[in-house]
Parts: sequence; structure tokens; C-alpha cells
Amino acid sequence: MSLEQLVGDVFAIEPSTVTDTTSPSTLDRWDSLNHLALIAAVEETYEVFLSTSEMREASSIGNLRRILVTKGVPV
Amino acid sequence: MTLLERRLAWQRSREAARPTDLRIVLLSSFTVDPLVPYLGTALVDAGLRPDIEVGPYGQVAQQCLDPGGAAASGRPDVVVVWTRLEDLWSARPSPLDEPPDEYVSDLLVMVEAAVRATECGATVVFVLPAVPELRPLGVGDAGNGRGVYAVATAAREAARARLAGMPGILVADAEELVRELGSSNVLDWRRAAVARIPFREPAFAAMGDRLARLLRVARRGAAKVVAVDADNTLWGGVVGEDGVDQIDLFDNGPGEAHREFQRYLLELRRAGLLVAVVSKNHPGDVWEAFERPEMVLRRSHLAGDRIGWGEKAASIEEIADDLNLGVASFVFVDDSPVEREKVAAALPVVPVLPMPEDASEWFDAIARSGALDRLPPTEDDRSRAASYQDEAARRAVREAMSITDFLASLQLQVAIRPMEASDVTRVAQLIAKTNQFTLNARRRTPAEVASLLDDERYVTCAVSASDRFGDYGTIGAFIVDTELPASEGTSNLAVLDTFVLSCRAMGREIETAMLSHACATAGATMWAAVADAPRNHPARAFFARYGCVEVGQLSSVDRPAWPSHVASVGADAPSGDRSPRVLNPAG
Repeated sequence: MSLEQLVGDVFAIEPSTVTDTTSPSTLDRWDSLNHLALIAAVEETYEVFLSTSEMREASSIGNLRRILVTKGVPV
Repeated sequence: MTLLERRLAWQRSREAARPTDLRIVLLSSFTVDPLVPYLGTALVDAGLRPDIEVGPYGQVAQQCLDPGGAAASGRPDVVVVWTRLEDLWSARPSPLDEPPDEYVSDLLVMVEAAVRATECGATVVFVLPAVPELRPLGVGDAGNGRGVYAVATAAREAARARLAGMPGILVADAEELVRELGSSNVLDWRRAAVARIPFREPAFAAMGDRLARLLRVARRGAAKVVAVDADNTLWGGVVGEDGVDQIDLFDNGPGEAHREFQRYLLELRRAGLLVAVVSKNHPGDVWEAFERPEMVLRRSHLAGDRIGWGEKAASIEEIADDLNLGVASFVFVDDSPVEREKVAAALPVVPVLPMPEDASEWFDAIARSGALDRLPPTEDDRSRAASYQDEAARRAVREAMSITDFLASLQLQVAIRPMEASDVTRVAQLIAKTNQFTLNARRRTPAEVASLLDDERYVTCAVSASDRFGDYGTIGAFIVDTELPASEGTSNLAVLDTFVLSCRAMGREIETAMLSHACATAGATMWAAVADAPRNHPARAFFARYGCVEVGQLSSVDRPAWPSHVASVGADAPSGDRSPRVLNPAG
């Protein structure tokens, strides 16, 4: 599943509106609880674990994508 | 469904506006929000329509005790209280050598707050916290009488002891998650650090499923009858083909697994479930097999049987009629996928359990399904299995004589007594479970029943009965609202509010005695409106005889005479007389 599709599902938004600049400041629904919901969805879908510091760094879709790429997930 | 799919499904269902019939508030000492989608989807699967809110974080006691708090102000149906000992003990060092009392009382404060929350009418589900993982002595904690495990266990057991049997309280246990999944699969140190979410998603899912099982059995009642197949279920092989001596009940092999399954059935029976056999066979063959000395389940343990060549769905319906029960209270167990599918197709309300190939795994499969979950037994439950077997003896006597003779021969004794606090659990259970002999479908939580006891406006009575065949225990209850405001300018009316009689006590005119008594206690003319509930035809027919002909219409009740065959036992009889006598089930 593409990262955009997954993000769209978690935040219940149109996947085509998801870009690397999507972040809590551009998306109201991205609050602290939904941040953790996104992390859980990513971890389960791509079978990876994010460390506590990676959880904090994943503060935009671009950052999250970079973290996933370092873990060998081609998103 | 994966866990992510469950979460997304819940999210989508929340966006569609839906009616709800179960308002739930979660109160926790940690971030409990991840529980919501799992509890929600599990309850939807159980046929309920929940609305779930999360109360303010870390304010369990305040939210329970404050009249403006979540437990009181929102009028929820259910309050779930889930705390962790790590949070409650955060101001203390880990137990090492300290007296355990203060650690125990930290949890008991939460317990008392939870108990108070029932006063607003909500059912409270208290989750016993798991034993903390942090052990200063490591492996040495096991040998420390004042260590983490010992003190946590003392606190948990003190909480359980306080909560067990309390009206309006259900108890779940987070330690079961650790047993089921293992602590490394339950605890989430990363999310605990980042967001005070101490558990992993599978742990929240497992707790959601458990809470849903608990709420389902509390609201819908437990299964009453397990209908089991015989060939390849109670024993290995087919008795009609292999012969009685060759069916497998032997030691050290599959036969032993079938006998273990029989032992499980007996344990379920002891807990109040009735066991019936539904088999396609010659009856003689099956009963001969039951005579095999290795059989654990005996013929006398059965509350019903249908052995022949008819369809099993029809057999289940016939047994249900014999026992005065609905088929929805049955669960069907059969090794044959074909028979299971046929029953599932003909009787969609009957849970049909998928059984593993190997009989040794059946107990585990059934236990995990939750289909046979029960709440802790009350005194009356314990005698019920015996009582249904007495019913067979009663029927035999009944058919041999006229109804008048029969009733006179019963030596029926009925005790109608003012309800006491100790009756609340049983009466609330009766109100929740009674479908046939009920004035209306009004359900009341135990806390609501309890609140009526001290209200002078209400006359509340519990009814128990016994006859020469056995003791029924508490089988009925009624509530009269003596001052229901009527239209302006007229005085208040005495109105029958609740009137329930267990189906296993019907047909003896106990209801007539109850109504006679209710009219007498009402003081003035008593009024009643009998409702059009799905299965309350017996009650509608009964009330029609005493003036309540128009369904849904408030009518004055013609007081019936106390039936002459019923002996009235004084309300001031010693309480010991009311505890049911358990008959020897084999007798």
C-alpha cells in the first residue's frame, strides 16, 4: 500500500491531497493521538519499528518517508 | 480482519451517523484511547451499538466521584475503569520491604470511586491492573514476600474481594492479557515514553474483545443450553457402525480427548449450563453407549435429548419447547461441518462453534470463542440445573392428573418479601433475562433496582417458591410505583411498574399469587399497562384476564384471589429458608 493511501486512510482524507509537506501544521486532524495512530499503522503495514526519537522526527510525511527508506521500505 | 482494518472500520462507522444503545465512558490512569476502536468493533460484532468516549486522562477517581464528572453528568450506561499499579504507585518506590497496606489502599481508593460511580445507574467495569514488570530484585522478586509480585497480588485480590458480587459491577483482568500474549507482546515501552500509551495494539485489541464479551453476557445473558452431538463428539467413532464396545473412549489416545471434553461439559453444567444431546442414531445405541463405564457424562446429567433421524435444527427447537426456552439461548457443538452448517442455516440465532479437527483442542476453542461465558453464579443459578431436571418429573406427574389435582399436589409454597439489598443482583438478572412473563420490556441495571429499595414511593418485592419437587429460589419480582403523577387535578395513581416471573416457574399460578399480593400492597386501585414485547404473550394473556385487555393502555387491575393451592410463606421467615436446596442431579 502506498504511504499516501495509508495516510489518507488514517486521517480519513483524500490520498491525492497527501504530500511530503503534509504535517500537523497543514492538517488539523494530525493531533498527538492521530500521530500515534499513524505510527502504529505504518509499523503494522510495513512491518517496521520506529524508535522514540524517530516517532518524534516523523513530524511530516516527508520526514516519515525518509525514516522508512532508511529501514529499507521503498515508499 | 487485521488490527489496522478494525481501527479503520471503527473510524468509518463513526463518521456515518448511527443510533446508539450503549453509551460507554473509559476512565484511565494512562492514555486509553487506543482501546476505543477494538472495544467498539467487538461490541458491534456482538450486536450492540456503542458510543464510546474517553474521560479526562488520569482523573479516574475525580470523574467517578464528582457529580459533574464523566460518570455522573453524561449518564453513561457503562463506565470502564482501567488503571495501572505503576501509575497509582508513581509517588512510591517499588515494593521491596515496605508494609503492603498503603500500596493496597492506593488501588482500593480507585475501587471505592468505581463503586460510587454505580450510584448514578451506570454499570461499572473495573479492570484489575496487571502486576508491574519493574522488579528491583529481578528474578529474586519471586522469593520476596513484600516484593512487587506479592504486593501487587495482595492489592489485586483486595480489589477483587471488594468488587465480587456487587450489584452493577463487572470485573475484567489485565493480567489475563499478559497470560494470553506474554508481557513482551503486551507492554509498549516506546509509546509509554512518547504518549503514555503503555500497551501494544494487540493488547488493546485483546482487552476490547474481553470487555465486549463481558458486556455482552451481562446485557444479553449467558447461553442456557449446549446441544452436543454424540458420534465423534462425545466419543470417537460411530456407535451404529462400530458397535458400543468399539467406540473410542479408551485411555491414552483420542478417546481420552473425548472424555476430557465430557469433563469440560460437566464443569460447564456445574456452572449452570444445561447439556442436551442431539444425535442422528438409534436411541438404544446411544443409551447403551452412555452405559459404558468410561463415560464421564451420564444420562442423568442431560436436561434434554433428541435421538433419531430428524434434522438437528428441528431437534433443537423441540428441546427448546420442552424446556420453555428460546432457541437463541442454545449453543450447538458438532464435529461435522455439514451438520453445523445446516443448523446455522436453519437457526441463525444459534451460535454454532467451529470445532478443530482434533477433539483434544475443543475445550480451548470453545473457551476462546466466549460463546459459553457466564458471570459468577448466584445462589439461584446453582440450583437451576437441578431444577430443570425436576421439571421432567413434574411433567410426568402433571400428565397423570387434572390440572387442579396437579396444582394441589404440588405443595407449592410462595414467599413474597420486600426486596433487600441482597436480592438486587438476582432481581436485576430476572428483569434482564425474562422475556415471556414480563409486563413490559423495561430493563433496569442493578444500581437502578438498588436505588428503588429505599424510595418510599416504590413497593419492591422479590418472590421465591418451592414445591415438593425442589426449591426454585428467587423466581419473580414486582415493583409498584405508588404515586405515579396522573393528569392535573386528580390524585396520583398506584401503577404496576415491573412484573417478572422466570419461565421455569410458569404454569403454577405463582403469577396469580404475585398479582394478588401486588394489588393488596398498592393500597388503592392498582393500574397496569401491559406492553407489546416480542415474546411476552404469556404475560399479555394473563393480564388480560384481570382487566388489562388493551395492550399499551393503562387499565385498572381486577385483583385476583390468592390461589387456594398456594401456601403463603411469611415475609419474616428466616433468610436461611430462602436459600435453594440443591437436589442431587443424579437422583
